[in-house]
Amino acid sequence: MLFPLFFSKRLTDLLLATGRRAAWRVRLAISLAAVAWSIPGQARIEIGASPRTADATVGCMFPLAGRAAIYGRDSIAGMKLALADLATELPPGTAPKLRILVEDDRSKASVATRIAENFIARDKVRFLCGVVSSGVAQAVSRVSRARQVIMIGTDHASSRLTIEDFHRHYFRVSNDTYTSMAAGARYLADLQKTSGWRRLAFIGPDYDYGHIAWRDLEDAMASRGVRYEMAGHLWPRLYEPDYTAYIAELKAAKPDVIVTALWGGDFIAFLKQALSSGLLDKARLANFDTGGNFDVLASLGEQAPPGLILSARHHNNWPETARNRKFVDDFHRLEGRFPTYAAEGAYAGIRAIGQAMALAGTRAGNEQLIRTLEGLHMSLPEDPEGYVSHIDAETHQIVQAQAIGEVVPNSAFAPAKVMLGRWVVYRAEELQPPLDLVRSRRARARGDTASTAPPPIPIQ
Amino acid sequence: MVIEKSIVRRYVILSVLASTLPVVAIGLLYDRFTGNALEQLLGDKISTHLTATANRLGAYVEARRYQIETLANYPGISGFASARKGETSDEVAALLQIESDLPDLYGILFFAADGHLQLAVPGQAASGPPYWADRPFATAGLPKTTLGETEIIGPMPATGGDSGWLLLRHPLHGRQPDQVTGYIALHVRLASLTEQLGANAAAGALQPLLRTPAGDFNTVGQAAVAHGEIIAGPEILPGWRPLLEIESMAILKSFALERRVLLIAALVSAALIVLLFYRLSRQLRQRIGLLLSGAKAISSGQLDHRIAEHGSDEIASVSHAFNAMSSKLKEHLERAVRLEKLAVLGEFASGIAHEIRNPLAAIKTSVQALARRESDPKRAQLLGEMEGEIDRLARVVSDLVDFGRPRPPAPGAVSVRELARRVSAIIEPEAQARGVHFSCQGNPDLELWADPDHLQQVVLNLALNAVQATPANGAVILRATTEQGRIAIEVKDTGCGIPAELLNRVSDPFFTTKTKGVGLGLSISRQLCELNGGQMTIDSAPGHGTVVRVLLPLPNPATPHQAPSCQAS
Repeated sequence: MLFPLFFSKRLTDLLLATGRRAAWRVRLAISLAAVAWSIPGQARIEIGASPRTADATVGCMFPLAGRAAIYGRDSIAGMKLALADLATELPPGTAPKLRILVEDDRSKASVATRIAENFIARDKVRFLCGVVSSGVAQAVSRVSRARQVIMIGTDHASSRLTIEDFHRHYFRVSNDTYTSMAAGARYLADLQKTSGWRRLAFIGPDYDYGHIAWRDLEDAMASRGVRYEMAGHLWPRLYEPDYTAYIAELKAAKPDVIVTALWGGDFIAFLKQALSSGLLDKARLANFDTGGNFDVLASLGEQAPPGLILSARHHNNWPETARNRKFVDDFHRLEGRFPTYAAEGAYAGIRAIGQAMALAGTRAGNEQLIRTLEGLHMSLPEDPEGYVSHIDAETHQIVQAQAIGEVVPNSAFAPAKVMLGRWVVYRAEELQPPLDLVRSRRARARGDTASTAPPPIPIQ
Repeated sequence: MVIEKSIVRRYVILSVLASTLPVVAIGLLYDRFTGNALEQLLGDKISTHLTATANRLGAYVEARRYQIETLANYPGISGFASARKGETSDEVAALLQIESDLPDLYGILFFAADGHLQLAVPGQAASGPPYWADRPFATAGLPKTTLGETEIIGPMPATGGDSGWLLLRHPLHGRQPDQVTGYIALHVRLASLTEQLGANAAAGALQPLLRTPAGDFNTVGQAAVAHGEIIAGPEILPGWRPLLEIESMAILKSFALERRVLLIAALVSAALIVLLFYRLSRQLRQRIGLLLSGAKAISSGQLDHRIAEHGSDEIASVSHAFNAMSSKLKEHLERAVRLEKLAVLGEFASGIAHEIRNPLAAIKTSVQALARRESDPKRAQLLGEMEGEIDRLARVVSDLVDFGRPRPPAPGAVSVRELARRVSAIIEPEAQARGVHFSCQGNPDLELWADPDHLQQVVLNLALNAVQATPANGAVILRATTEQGRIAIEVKDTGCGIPAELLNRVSDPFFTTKTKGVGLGLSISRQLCELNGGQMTIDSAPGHGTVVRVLLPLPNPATPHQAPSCQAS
């Protein structure tokens, strides 16, 4: 989100020059203008049923501009495919008529909060959905909890949303940091047996997603008994334009393995700088949650850097099932390009809403829908043969397998010249957080333990 | 012999100097270059850089201070934290949400008047405490820096998986201006401040740092311990200032490395050159010493002395020339001695022969006359034997005369076939009588250049000696071959052979191992052979027979060969 940043930095200088007395008035006016600007009158995308015929309205928030815009565009296409599949796959006449509204949250919690409030107040949405950034999703989740509107998270991954910050109205239909880091820890444990790596460094974006990804990896490594020496934690800001200083720190730390939670354009920028700086000549780089996204692979061109260990929440070439091939082909037919994982997340979100409404009835209340969603089974493109995704009732987190691969030459998905291969697949059952872990994390967050942690601070 | 001014030593010294002086000169230039580079790096540019960095840091802190001051003075803020649920101002909440929605801020915190944390408004970058209560959040013990009414608390260094941060806290006033009802604070990302330090001025050499009351931090907000030289910039707050850590070793690292490599290379190359030339000079001196000792030996008459020849270099050539020279010298000396000896013997023999031949002729005539008149057969037989002995004496005398005054050779082309025929005709009866097999082998079409009579005499002598030295059932072979541009006439027998100690003497005049004969045959043969420009060698070993080889030139009518010794004779 450029707008508040612009006002916060540039305007402050202006205010310094214009005098303090009037400054707060100017600032307030601009702040309110910013709020007002970000809500009504903003371009919105509508797909699906018309307001009069819709059984339910779904209000989605995605970034539609800037580094993360591709996630928004792919999510919209994924939702279109989900509407089409619901109509053809559900028994005739049972598919609910969904009206989907999409607005640009500009990757800003303040903007997304206001959009969500407006969706609820003005558009009477029955579901909130989407959101790419975990920081923004937490703000929207708070709205969901406060307004008791079901939120279907499609593309953010902080495990806090389904563990510490769990509430009954929040569900997530893509793998979270716990899942991906549990798979990553297993991969690193196996890698240690073959390569004998010792020093580990972590670099993640400096917001909740990055930090909880590290905590999840740290816990998973501890539970696997992986012994390592920590070479450093680095926390560049989200949308950092230049990673030179961080790469210099990493080179100085001399890690054997670097795990990163940078995502999207940030990861692409980091990867390009890391490759050109020679950082990866002596260290292996792993990104277990988002690194295998199609836009990353396409950005590599013909390079297939050895040592890259990547995964993502959906892969165009794994699993090789009819459903996944159909999803990828349908997307390509619709958009003329191959999807990022965001498309499948949004697809899964609309499928979950559609199937839950079909099962509970279009007139079902929230409680009935929540009960239907808890334990909902749905076959999704990223399900390997013989497995059907389901939503865990305890966490409202979808339970799915995860495949981790290495970069190999593959030009079947133009413009990408490389794709992931040499897969190591981890079953969904082994990547679920144990119930006692979920409960202890929630207890710590509530301050129920005898630790010195202070009681939770009231959040407005 | 001691060499006063060794050219080898001088060459070594010059070579060492020529190879090391340029390296030393380049090293000195490098030194000067690195010195200048360091001076340039540490000069005015650093001061300018630090001032600019301090300005950026100051502006950032001032912007945040102004932000928190503005928020603190916003109507409704002071009561926001203590308002009951449902009574909070949506407008204030929206403003706080927008103000905290920056990547530089983790959130906005409200503290009670006693410093107790009341409320945390999470920003977009919020993570960890105090927004999640699974780990403690405390400000006690953190340094405080006063900036007007605003306090800067911290910085709190990054720990474990949490980022570093600092608080800019401003008091909230009640209705009375002096009444502090609480505090509002910006929870600022420490790395956002340290990023103002900018990229390294010289990567790896100049490390920008931020000095704070809680320690030093690098560009990415990590606690750092300076090891190099520190240059401090202007103070932006009490205890806060930018630093430049000069890792002089890093600046000079590449230069120092190159210098070290250069120095080592110079030392190694100088040592190698010295070692190489030392060994070379030792070898040269040893070999030249051998030459000198050889020359000394030859000059002292040791003509058998030979200098060891190694390789094919100049010194080996000189050694070879020395050895060839001493061989020739020895050969000439031996020939001169032998000729002198032969001349003396010949003159003596001629004198003796002259004195004996005439009386002997008179005795023979008298004995013949007596034998004709003698009727007694026994006496007639005795007289006949006397005549035979007189003939034998006459032949000895004739040999002596021939030996003393050999006829100068009249060389011409001699057919080997004809030579063999004649020799066979004479030798074969004698051989048959002794039960020895005589044969001629080799190429009968060959021709050689020699006096035919001399040659026949030589070969007859050798063949007769061979037949006489060969026991019955033995064999004597006469063979003619071409050898190194000359004709080799070889007489080989299967006789008892000649002991090594006698081999050098068998061609001496009057040396013989036979009971009959005066020992002039081989002497005369060698003499005639040499007169005809040839060479005679004898190979023999007891029990293995004897091979006498005569080497003579090929016919060359254009330049008839005549040995100088022949003319001298």
